[in-house]
Amino acid sequence: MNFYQSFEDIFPEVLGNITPKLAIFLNLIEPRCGGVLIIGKKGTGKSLMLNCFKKILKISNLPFVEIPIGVTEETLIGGINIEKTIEKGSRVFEEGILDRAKEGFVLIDDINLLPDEYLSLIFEKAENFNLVATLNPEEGVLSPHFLDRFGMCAVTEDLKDPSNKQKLLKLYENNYQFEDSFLEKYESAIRKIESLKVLKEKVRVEEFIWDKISETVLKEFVFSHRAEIFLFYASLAYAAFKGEFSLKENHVDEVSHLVLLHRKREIEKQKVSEEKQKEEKKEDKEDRQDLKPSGERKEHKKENFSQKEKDRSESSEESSQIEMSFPCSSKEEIFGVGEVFKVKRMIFEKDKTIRSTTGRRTKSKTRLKGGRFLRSVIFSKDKDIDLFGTIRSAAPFQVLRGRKNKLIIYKEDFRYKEKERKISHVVSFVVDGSGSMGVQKRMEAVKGAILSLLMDCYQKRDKVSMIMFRKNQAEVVLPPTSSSDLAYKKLKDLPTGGKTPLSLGLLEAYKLIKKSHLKHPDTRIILIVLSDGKANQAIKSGEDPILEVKRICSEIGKLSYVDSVVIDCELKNNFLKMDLAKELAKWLSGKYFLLEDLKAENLVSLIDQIKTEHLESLERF
Amino acid sequence: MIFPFCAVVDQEEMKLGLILNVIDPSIGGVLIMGEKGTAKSTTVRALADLLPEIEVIKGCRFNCSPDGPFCLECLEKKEKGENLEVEKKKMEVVELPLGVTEDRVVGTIDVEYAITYGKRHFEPGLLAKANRNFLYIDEVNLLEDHIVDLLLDSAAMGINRVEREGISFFHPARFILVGSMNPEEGELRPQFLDRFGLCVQVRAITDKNLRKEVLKRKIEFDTDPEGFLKKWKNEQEDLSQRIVQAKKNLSEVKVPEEIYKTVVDLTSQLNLDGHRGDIVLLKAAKAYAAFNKKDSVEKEDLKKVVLFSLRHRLKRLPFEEPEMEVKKLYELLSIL
Ligand SMILES: [Zn+2]
Repeated sequence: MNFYQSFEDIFPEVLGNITPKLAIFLNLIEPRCGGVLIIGKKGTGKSLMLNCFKKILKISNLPFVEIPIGVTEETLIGGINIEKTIEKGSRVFEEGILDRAKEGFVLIDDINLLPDEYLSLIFEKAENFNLVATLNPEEGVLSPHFLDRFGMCAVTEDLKDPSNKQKLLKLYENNYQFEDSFLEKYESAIRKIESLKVLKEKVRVEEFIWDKISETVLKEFVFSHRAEIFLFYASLAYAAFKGEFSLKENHVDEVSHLVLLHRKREIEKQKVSEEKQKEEKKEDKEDRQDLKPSGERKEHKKENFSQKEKDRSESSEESSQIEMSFPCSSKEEIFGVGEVFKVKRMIFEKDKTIRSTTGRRTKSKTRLKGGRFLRSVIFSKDKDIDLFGTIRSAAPFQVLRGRKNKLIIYKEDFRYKEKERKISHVVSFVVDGSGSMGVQKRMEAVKGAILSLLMDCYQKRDKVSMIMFRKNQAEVVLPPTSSSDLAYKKLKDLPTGGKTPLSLGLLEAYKLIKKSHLKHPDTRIILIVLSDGKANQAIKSGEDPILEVKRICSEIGKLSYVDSVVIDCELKNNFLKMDLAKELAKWLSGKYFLLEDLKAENLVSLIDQIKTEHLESLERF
Repeated sequence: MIFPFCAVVDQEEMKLGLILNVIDPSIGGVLIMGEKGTAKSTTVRALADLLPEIEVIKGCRFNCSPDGPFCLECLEKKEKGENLEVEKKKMEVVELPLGVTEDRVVGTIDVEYAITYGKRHFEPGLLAKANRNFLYIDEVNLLEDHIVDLLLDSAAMGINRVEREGISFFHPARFILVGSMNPEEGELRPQFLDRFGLCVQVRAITDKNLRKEVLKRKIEFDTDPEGFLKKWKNEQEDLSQRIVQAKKNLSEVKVPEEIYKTVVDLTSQLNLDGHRGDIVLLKAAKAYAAFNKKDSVEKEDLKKVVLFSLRHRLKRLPFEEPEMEVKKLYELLSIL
């Protein structure tokens, strides 16, 4: 049986993309495989794949439902049918769409756009069905908790094979009008699945396979037991697919990536890279001892750096000038968190004042549409009628009012929806980790300032994210999380050293902000840039780094849901002082502060101020 | 069909924490901290399934115990001199989903009844269902604040009092609160944290052979559930009997004077806020002694339960290294 041919059959319209096809195929053979998450960028055929899968399900009469992004809770899990309830005068329940998927599949396109509460509802019922979903990594991520629920994960990619590209072009040209010939292929594929389902039952499993599975999972530092269970069923289905009667080690190996891809642990990976860094440092030390006194060596390295830079780009005179005027140390250090004890004491005091005065004020009852339904009320300024609440209050009077076949509702029965809108915030730190931040332990002070803010975020239950830029990279050290503990751990370990790719850091922040806004449109973002503004590394080689910064800033400045704060970390008693961070704040249309002037308290009250301003503007609206 | 409790591999701390709460529900529930995919909800369901049926008033919608406390409906029947029949019921795990509404939690007016009879009648919510059962909240740290407040209220009183839509009602709401959370996905409000009697940690199993056993048992259960249950039947019945016996003997277990002293010494050196820590520690030790068929609490019993009784009360703020406090706790224990 030709391995590749069978995929042509199962998804005749989808070219290439062997792994997602395999994943879906295995799930059809063995429903205990636990569903598939298809990850891929725009235009790599994710949705097409889902559509083809739908056809297979239709032809083979398997139950399935699709979850649209704008779905409501009632549609999902069922609820009261208001119309019929009014008509009949007795409560008429409607089943939710999830109930219709029993023993079948639930399909979600762009799962990252569904709110987490809904995902929880879906996964809660996931014992009854398998989930096949798509996700565009450019638009958001899923929390590891949800990822773990998927049996498999497969990535779609652009076609590389020219002959496939040609085929695709032809398909488009003909508007996919090949239905008839495809139908045959589908039907034969379905017959094959049926026969493989029978074969699967006969596959033998020997003792060593259990070891093999546990070893495979542990090797990737995956500790969820779901991984092993799904891997077992995936291997079993795969053995059947290969037409074999006993489960072999290579079966496990060949499907393990499907089961483990989304479970691999970032933390462990990080440890490995940290070790690498340590090794690098060790090397540093070694050649420091072997070759020259450290001072000389540093200069030597700096020369090297700028030399490379010049080689790579035909840098204009201007930019090379800028580069020269910025001291840039290649030394890498990890600074402690400054002024921790002071901050801690302050928190205790602050805790009290907050409780006695305002409490957590990240919430407000709001008249805007949207937001979680809190309760039914009699008086409300806006007329968002709570139908069920109204029926509830009219119900006891129906006998008295002489109801015949329809509910009799008077004006005084009306109830309205009171909603709670959490004005939640993501506080997004963009931290300059370049060498200049290491001068006179600036980083310690920066870390101290961030820590005090983290304390505040913890109390207000805001989310935090952190981006660090240095050398020639910017990295999302911490995607938005409500765990301030985790943020603290990351903060402690932030290193400094290297050049200042400020524009790259801001670009990364811009992307993160867009993503986060897509998923939680109600969330305000507070962007806090901690830097001296001395950009000396452009994204595009040959570009002026400062110009790049300016452009990105103006893009961020246009986003109405972002408030920016720049905290200038430049040493002001230095003759090299340039006040570039001030410009940065201007470009971002943000607030500007000096690190020195900022005691932790001020920083916290500053954030509060931004929030209050925002709330006030909402109330006015 | 439900996976047998005794077949859950390892995770002794979680299992013990749950069992002690069954022996003495006034311990106040268990918070399970741990990563995804570590069989938290499976274990809770398995325990509920293991336990023998409980006696309830027949037809009562709130699982009232024949020994009280009673709901309004049972009280009315009693006043009228009606005879309250008793029936047996299996314990349940009632799950409180994230995003649940107030109505669903506390209950509301029964619309159908109101329309047909013109009278207000109470329709029970999840708290009613949870009475004398387990109330399980997955990812409890993501639960919304107004729901948390409702839960805290009734958990503290043991009663759900409803005043809404012209309905005035109350019924007992005593449940074993079990929450699970992954601390990396956000912290729990301190007041709520303190409410949980015990806090157990579920560790990821890294031993290959143990993991293999987990996998094999699960697959075996999937393929032949009946056969699997039969295999574990004896062990399950023994444990069930042991728990029932411990529950019976609990009130007989004596607490020597020196144990009171040890508890107070211990907690005062750890600078805990409030007294909940002391009380829970003693209760847990007592339940543990009963579980081991002892007639009085010994220091060994304290040692066994101290970590999960105090763990979540040690750390007052985020960003502190809890390891330090735990270390201190161990030091204190070693001189006991
Ligand atoms: Zn009752």
